[in-house]
Amino acid sequence: MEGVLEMADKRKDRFGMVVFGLCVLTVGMAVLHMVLREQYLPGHPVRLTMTGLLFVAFASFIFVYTRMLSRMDEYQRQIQLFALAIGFPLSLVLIWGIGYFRAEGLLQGGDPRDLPAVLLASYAVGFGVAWLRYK
Amino acid sequence: MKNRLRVLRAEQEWTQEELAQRTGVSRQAINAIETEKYDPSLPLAIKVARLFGKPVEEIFLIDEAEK
Repeated sequence: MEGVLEMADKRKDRFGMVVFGLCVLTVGMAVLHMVLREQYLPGHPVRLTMTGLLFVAFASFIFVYTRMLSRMDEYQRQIQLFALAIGFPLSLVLIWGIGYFRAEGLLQGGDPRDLPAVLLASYAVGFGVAWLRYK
Repeated sequence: MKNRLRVLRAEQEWTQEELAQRTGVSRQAINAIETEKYDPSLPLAIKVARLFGKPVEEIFLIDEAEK
């Protein structure tokens, strides 16, 4: 019983890092998708596979994040709140910035499909700041 | 907010892990409370106080400079 409790507690300790890791993995896959779609034509099996994997990664992130939020203790939720408090406004600023720069003829070549990666990257930055603040 | 959690825990010879299990939070939460980086919620403060058999205000102290 002690062992089970210890395992549960260790899992609880790692919640934040698992969410952060999944976030980094998803952003990495989004970047890989950007690179691969330049090299293969639409409908190519590599592109289709990568798109499917990216969708699975995003869906997994949302699933894991919501499940873990409900299992976190108040301190871990505080860290997540801090991460979102930074990540959400940061993503707004970045998306607005991208939009305005594109309107001025800068930052060409971007794609609206990549915006969710900006959201996740902003969350990752927010989590990093929160972790430094509360570690 | 200041607190005497580390001292009280040491008196009981509990590790942070043990205290975390007894209060139902993570070890990180206990560590953050002890290092005064995080102020616990009222329910958690009451739980801790009951665990040590002391009033909440004897464990968690309002810093006069914070008032």
